[in-house]
Amino acid sequence: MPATADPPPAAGDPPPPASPTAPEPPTRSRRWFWCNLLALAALAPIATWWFQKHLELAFTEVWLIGGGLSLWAFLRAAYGLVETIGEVDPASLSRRALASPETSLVLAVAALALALAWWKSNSFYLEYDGTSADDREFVVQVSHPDGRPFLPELTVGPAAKVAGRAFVFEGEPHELVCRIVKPLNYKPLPCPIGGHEALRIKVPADFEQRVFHLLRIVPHIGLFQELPEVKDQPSVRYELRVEVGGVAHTLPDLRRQTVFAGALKADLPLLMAGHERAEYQEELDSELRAASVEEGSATRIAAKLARRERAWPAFDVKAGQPLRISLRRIERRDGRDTASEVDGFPFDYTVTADKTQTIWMPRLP
Amino acid sequence: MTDHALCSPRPASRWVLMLMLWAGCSGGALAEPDPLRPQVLVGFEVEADKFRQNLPQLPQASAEMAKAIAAEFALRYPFADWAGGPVAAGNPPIGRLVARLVQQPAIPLPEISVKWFGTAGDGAPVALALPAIEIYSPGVIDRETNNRQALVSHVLQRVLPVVRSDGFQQRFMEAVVQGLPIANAAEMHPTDHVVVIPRLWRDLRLGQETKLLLVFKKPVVGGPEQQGMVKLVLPSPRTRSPKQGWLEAAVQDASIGASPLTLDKGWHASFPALLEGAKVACYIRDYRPAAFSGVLDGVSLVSE
Repeated sequence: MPATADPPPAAGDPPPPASPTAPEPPTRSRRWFWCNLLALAALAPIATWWFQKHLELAFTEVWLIGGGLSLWAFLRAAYGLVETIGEVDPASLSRRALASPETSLVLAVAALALALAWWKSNSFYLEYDGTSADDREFVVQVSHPDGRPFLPELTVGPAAKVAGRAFVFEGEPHELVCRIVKPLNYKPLPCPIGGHEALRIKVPADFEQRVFHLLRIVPHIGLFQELPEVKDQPSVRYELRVEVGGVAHTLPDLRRQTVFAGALKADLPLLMAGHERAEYQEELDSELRAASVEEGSATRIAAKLARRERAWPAFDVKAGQPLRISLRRIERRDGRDTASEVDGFPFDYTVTADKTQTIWMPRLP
Repeated sequence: MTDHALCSPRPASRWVLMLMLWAGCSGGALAEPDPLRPQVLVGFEVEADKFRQNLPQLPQASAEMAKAIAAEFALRYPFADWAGGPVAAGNPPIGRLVARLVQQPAIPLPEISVKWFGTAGDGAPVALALPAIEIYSPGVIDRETNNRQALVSHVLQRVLPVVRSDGFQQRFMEAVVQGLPIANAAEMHPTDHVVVIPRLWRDLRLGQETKLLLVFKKPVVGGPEQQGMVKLVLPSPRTRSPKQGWLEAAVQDASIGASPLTLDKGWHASFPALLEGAKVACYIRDYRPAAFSGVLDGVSLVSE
């Protein structure tokens, strides 16, 4: 046992200055041994704790058991080799190694590396908590507040319960937003990660549930003929205003297009991606035909309105919320803008419980 | 340059000045200036409200459409300049033709069409008996209300094929061409037994099958206004002086009120006095353009 054995001098120890050939005094060698042993004893749990904090989730149980057995086998083989080829006793060799100042140096470097790893590493993991009513997968987007992705989309579910990674020596603090993009029933969750933090997020328990409503605001026939095409360079502009909860939001330069609203910046594209364009086109087509629009014209316009999407992530809405929608016609004359309200506006609309709803603007004469 | 220099031109300059004065005086005394080519002013007006309110560069759009339509009529009726833009100064137009983009209430949207208006001389245009041309039917809602080029292109695609059709041309002849006074004066020439119209034949290029109608109104002292008409045939360029190159025609028929005049070799003794002090207008009745262009003033004819 190292604690009770008298440690021999290490093979590579420098000779003492007084007598170069004389062996190292046992007291000094013993002191090195105990120092190194204590340092090792202190570093090992810290390293273990650091591993457990940042890397444990990255390695499955199979990895740990298989890897542990493999490591034991490798060490045992190395032990045997040293014993056979080096014709030395590995136990006494390790005792000598622990008693040498070089080992202290190695341990010091290791401690430094561990301190650096401690300070400059962080990790980000999503854990499926299994509380979802239906056993389905959750696709989570982790992005910076400006929308840049921080990680590729992560998927957790019954099959893959953990997703994420550790950032060893590259763990900068980041302001992040986690968003369950599939299914789209949860509010985004701020998930900032610190410089040496291990972030664990339970999916979906940590996310607050909510229902999104995608509003498709579309001009009816009279207004459609009046609005400029997307490619036009008009002399008259139309400004759409929606008042939600006492706050007015303005969309400048409305054209012959569908305005998508009802959610904020990052959510709206996801909602729009989820809406059924073909179904929407059919809805437009049948509404236009019902309004006595010629068949060919209805088909053309339905396709145009379904294709020309304009995202307006200015506000989000809840079921039952009243909206006041107005439209101003702005004409530039003699270098000055003259604005007037378009006939049929403003009008009121109450958000329904539907996830996707089409708001037809007034027909006009 | 000094005042002395201005007041005393050099001998050579003095000769030139005198020559110019002589030429000016003798020209004015010897020859009447040639009449100008008749002009018809063609316009395009946008009345439909959504187009009038929203279309950028509306005057330019109107001018472009007017020019294209005028060019179409100029090709078919070369007896006049069909001007889609401003007419030449000092030559008042013989008529105005206006194509107007109008809207008629309809469901679901107003019908947009081009209707024709016109007038002889420069009076206010009135609706003409020409078919309206549909531009947007009520059920078509993708209308070019904010794009000048697209609207011009769409309107012309609709209007020009109709204008080129035989049916439209026949009605245009009756509603427009026959109502345009190509001249507001005429002279009876008893020596030649012809009527000279103050227009150059080369400007009108009327074929010999063309028939003209001279209408006159003459105030009579102490009596009702005297009205009459003279039917003219065989229009041709005048080959002798005076007024060589002007349009002349033979008399086929004439009447005063309801009484026909009996002609002797295409002439009546009362003709020279008939138009004195009368208001005259000369119309084209049956239009045939000349098969050849060129002027019979000694220059060879050039086939068109």
